[in-house]
Amino acid sequence: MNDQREGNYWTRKRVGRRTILKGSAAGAVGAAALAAVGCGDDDTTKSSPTAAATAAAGSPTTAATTAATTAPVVPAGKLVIDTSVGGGTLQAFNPLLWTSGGQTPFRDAVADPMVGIDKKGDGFGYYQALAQTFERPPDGLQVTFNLRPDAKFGDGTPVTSEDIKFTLDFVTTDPARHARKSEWKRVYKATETPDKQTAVVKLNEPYPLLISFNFMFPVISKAAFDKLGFDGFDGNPTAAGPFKFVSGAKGDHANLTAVEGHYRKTPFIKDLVIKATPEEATRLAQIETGETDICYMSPTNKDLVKGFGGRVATTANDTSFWLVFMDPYIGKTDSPTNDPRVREAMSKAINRKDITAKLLAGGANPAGSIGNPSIAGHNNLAPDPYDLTEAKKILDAAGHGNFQIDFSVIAPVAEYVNVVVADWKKIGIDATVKPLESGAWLAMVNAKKTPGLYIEPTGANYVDPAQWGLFVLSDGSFSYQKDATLDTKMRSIISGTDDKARAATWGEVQKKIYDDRIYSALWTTSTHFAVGKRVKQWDPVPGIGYIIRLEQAKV
Amino acid sequence: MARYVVSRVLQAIIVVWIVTTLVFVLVRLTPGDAAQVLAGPSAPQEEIDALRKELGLDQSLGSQYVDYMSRVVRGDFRDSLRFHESAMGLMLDRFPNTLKLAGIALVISVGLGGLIGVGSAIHPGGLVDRGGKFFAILGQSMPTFWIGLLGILIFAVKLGWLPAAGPGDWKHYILPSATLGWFSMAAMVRLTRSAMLDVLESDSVKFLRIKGLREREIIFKHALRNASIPILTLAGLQFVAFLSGSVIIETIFGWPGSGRLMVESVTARDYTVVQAGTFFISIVLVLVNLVIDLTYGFIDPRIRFG
Repeated sequence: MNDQREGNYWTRKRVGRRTILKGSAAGAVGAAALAAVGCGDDDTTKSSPTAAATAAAGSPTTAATTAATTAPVVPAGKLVIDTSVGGGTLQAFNPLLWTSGGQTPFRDAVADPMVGIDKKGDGFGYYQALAQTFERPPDGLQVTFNLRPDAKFGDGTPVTSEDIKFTLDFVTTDPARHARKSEWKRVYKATETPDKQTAVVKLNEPYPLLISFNFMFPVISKAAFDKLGFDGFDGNPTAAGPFKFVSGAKGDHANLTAVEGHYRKTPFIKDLVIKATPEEATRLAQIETGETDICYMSPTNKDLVKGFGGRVATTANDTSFWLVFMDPYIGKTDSPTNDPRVREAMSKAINRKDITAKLLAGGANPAGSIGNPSIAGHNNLAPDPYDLTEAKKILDAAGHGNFQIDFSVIAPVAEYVNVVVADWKKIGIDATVKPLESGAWLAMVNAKKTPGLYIEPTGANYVDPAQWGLFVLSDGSFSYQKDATLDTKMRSIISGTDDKARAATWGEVQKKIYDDRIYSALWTTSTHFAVGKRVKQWDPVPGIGYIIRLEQAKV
Repeated sequence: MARYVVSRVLQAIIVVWIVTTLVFVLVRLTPGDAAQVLAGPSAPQEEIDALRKELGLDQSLGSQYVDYMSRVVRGDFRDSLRFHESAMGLMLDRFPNTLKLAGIALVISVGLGGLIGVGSAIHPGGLVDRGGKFFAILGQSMPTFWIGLLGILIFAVKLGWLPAAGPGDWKHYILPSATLGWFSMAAMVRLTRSAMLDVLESDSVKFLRIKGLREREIIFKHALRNASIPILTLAGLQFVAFLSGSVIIETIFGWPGSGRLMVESVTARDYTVVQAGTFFISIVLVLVNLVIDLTYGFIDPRIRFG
């Protein structure tokens, strides 16, 4: 809680005896919140939403204290970021129409949620944004958010509980689109607004993701929406982020400007341009020429970027890759991969160490568990050692010395796929690579009719174990397992209210998947960013593969 | 003449109808559907199904086609599935960017290529001929994406003379349009040279020389005009190719054009934009071809349209 590490705006806000003494009255509220939630956990190494509740003890006066003792920031200069996802980046200017991670940089720049996410130690943590404190009773059927009285939208109007209600209601309506829409429609009951600073969110069932996932529900201005309508607001959004929208073209770029005197954090830079250039060579050329300041890059270009004086910033293992064996799920009874020993052999025939070091240019780490290592409860299991002799022995013992299997991959085929296939061939497995265009690959995965296996890459922005339900629950869209025990454990994570217990259960889920060889974890990758010479300060958030927290960037 | 124009317009309508129908069918035959891609990779099945219903994609192919064609005749291409904006509006917003690039590339291809071709024809085997041919063939031999990246490396990164990518002031147009135009220049050089050589050896040019006309007037006023029919045809084809095939250039240079929009829409299964874009491009191409055909009669009075 009193982490005094530099470079993190939120940790700097928490230091100081004056802060603690002045916050003692509000601290009683926070302490009551802690007691009500029933957890005093302050895990500084892994993220936990309750750490946010703990921090709430000092927060009510923190803003005022900070304002009194710190000179106001006057934004200056321009920052250009390239999110390189093409149309996926700026499909909508309404930050609440969030359907893919590529929209995150824009969303986080223009809109604040009630509880945000930021760098904390070597991982990520939660902080109060629009919500000064929140309280959650043990049954988890409601969450009371107490809003900051000084929070304002970019147009200067105050953020009130009516805006919270509008935001949370909006996600359930058509034609609104949101990545968690159907889930939210299931769990959300209503929001009550006893006063302008209090929003009581009522739920049909406990939904811990409301806190850990809260950054995916950025608050928008009801008044502005009512005035402009759905399409009008999408072309000219009003929200409470550190930047406000000026102009843009969907699918191409957005021009934003700093909100001076922002309730939470006035950006250091005045003008922010978000654009998308599909070709990496061009992006890096623009970093070198100074036309772009931050962009995505592949790890193979690390030396190039350093060579021209740029900097390479990375997240810490935000994406997990693992092998999915489809045959057991689809009921292909004659498939050798129904036998866990065969899956073990295939896993042990993969040279994770050399692949991550050489083919992935050191931008990945071998993994034994599926999942994002930054999230609470991650069970850091040892990856299978590379041993072709052992793998062959296991395969022979299982009675499947030689067989053929289809291997569906996203085109273009990555080099490591060919390496894996070659190693499998050495132990008698003939894997036929079937490249698919990404849309076709997605359809194949969701249809659950194709035999063989594929590699699943997921995790960036997966900050809570509950999100992995898609891959673990029997009825999850991407799940290829039918284990009742796992279902029970996963459901307890999804609807549990005890974060410590949820984290522990997630570790058990990972262990069971590992022991039963349901999936075979391969490695975790980090997202790499090329940072230009002009940028004096900016770092990505570990575990989150997106360019965010741009209000903290300096040029 | 009027009969010719009417017949060409009717042909154009049929061509556009065939093209749009083909695109309608082909995008729907592609594996993966729009609802799934639009809902995002994390969306559960119920969300995808709801979106599919909202977009009308749960209807039969026939129903979707009838609905689509009835909208097309009214000029309604629906909204982009991704951007919630008029699909045709998006195309019309982006097309001028492509048009500008194509126009400048055409000037480079026809202007510079034509000039080199004329020079080559005047002095066959000379320095201009050999140098021009080499320059043009070089452009045709190298893939456009490679030329583009090389241009960025040399002129933007190393020399700092030009911006690397993206739209902006006049400097931003140089690299992408030069890359686009250089590739097509070789064909223009060779055709112009060949056409000019034919005309310069003709009896009519010999007669003009006997009459005592200045060589410059013979070449640029008489010979070039007679040689311009095939040059015009090629220019038209190249312009059409620039308009529809600028995808690589727009991708390399981050240019917000219609080519890039179309490719991204195909990947994202944004059917409405693909359909609107194809319809629009086919109309433009047919119109360009019609204008070129009509121009023949202006250039060569011997050509009449029955």
